[in-house]
Amino acid sequence: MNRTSAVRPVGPRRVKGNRKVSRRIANTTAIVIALLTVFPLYWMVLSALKPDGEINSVDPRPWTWHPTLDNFRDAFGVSGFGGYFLNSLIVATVVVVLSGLVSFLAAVALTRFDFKFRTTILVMFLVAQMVPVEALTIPLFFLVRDIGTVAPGFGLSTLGSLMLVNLAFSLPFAIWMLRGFVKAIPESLEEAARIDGANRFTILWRILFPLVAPGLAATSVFSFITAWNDFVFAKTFILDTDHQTLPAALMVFFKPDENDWGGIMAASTLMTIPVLIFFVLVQRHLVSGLGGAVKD
Amino acid sequence: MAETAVRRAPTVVTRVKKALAPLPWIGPAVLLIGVVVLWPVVVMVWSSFQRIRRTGIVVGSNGTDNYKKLFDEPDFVAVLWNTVVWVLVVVAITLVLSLFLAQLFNQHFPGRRFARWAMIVPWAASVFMTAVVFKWMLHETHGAINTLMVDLHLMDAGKDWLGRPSTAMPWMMAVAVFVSLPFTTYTLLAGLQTVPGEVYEAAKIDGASTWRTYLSITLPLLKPAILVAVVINLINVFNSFPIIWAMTNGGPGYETATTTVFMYQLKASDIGESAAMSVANFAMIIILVAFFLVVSRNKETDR
Repeated sequence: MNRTSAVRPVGPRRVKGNRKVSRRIANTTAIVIALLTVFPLYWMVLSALKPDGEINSVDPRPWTWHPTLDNFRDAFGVSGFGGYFLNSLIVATVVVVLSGLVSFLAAVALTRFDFKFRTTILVMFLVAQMVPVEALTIPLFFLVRDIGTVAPGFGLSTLGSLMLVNLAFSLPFAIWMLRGFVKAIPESLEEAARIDGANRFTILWRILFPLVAPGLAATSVFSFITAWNDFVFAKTFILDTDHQTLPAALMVFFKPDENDWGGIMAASTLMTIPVLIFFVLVQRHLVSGLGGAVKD
Repeated sequence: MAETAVRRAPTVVTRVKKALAPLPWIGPAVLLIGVVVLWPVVVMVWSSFQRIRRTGIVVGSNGTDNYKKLFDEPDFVAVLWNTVVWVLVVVAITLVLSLFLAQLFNQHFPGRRFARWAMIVPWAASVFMTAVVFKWMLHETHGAINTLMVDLHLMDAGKDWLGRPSTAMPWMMAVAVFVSLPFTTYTLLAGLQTVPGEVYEAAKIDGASTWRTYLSITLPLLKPAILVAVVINLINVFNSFPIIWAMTNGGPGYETATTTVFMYQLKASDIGESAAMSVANFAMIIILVAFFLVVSRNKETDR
């Protein structure tokens, strides 16, 4: 902070005073907004920790003096919860890695090669981005079933099917974002390396990849969220209990008469933690990462 | 002669090689998107012209009857109107708030880190779960929001906000804005960081007011970021399903349904009609985005 204010030219005192006031206003506004944004999460965790009597109280308080882990115990008590969690983690991890790899290659192709159908492919990716997932459940069900007869690892009730479909749906946006990144890297860098005798792979791995890394970090966020939070595909393809993912555990607490709100909030809390951790890991790159998407 | 022949022979090979060179790079992406995303769209379009039993068995061609039935649906116009309001209001409010937030977060102040962190939370939580938490907070008797408003003497007793369309719609729009803010703000923040600082120094020397500087310098430079933010938001908000589904199920009746939710509701009674709605839905969003892109491109060439 000191560094930036030292660089700025020292203005008249009035301006300086104004700046102090405006900084205080900015600070207060930002903190109020931050508290508002975090409140639903706070209420979720709080509700998860409240004993049953307080959850069903007609006079809910924004604190609790009797925190309990009962709701979390209920959530873990859903048979197969550990397995569901692991399944979700496996699917999301595979999707993140493959999505990064495939979209990186595609972004390089779209920026570094000059070929006939480039515009067609770009439009195709943009259109793919607009596909409403809920509209495709029936055709996707049949597609996955048919794929299963050829490649059983990707058929119905397999984690492979979730990986495949989540991967494909995460690609258009990832490619679009990475394209901006690769485009911004001067081609002269690669040419210099080529003259020095580096081959394609070396150029890709040693030069392009590190420069695109922040973009990959940002795209990984999107593919992780897509895969981790997916309800629709899991509900459509997974017909047995062994290959369910976390949303299935959450669904147990929704009841036709009155929902088990404590259980829902506890399961939701458990489901949110891994995503938050993932965000913590990549947050540093998020702004610069999104920069790729907004470059023309 | 011989020399040219020798030279010409490899050109054919190199030409083929050159044409195929991008294939290993772009191939996997095109294959995956083509088979898993676009092929089902083709099937969807095809099935919108079929007569389909509720069990999913295709009986035969239905011509354009699915579409006729859809457009004659008594609630169709109301649902369409809901969708227009939903998309316009949510995207517009999201954009305005995000422009403000991005500007705020781009300043240096002690709480900045905390505020930027907080902004990530609605992004990380799944949209469905956020909607469920809001539904819980809006609960008529056990909800945080009702209790708070009663305590502040804004109301005498808790309200069933989600039970009536006139109050359910604004709340669901608020949730949609809430979940759209983080991405939009971060995208605009990324855009702001591409604006070089010298531009502002120059404006300051010229004596331009803050507001004036913002309108004539920041906004035009922010245009590529705004474009990306609006396109992505148009798509996401238009296709948004979990918020309405989790909070009201589109009900009572179809009164709080957008076309995306309507399409899902129709699936229970008539798969063919539902497919027709999907196709109409998809066509609408493509036209909407194309229209937006063309309009913004035209403005660009005017300058």
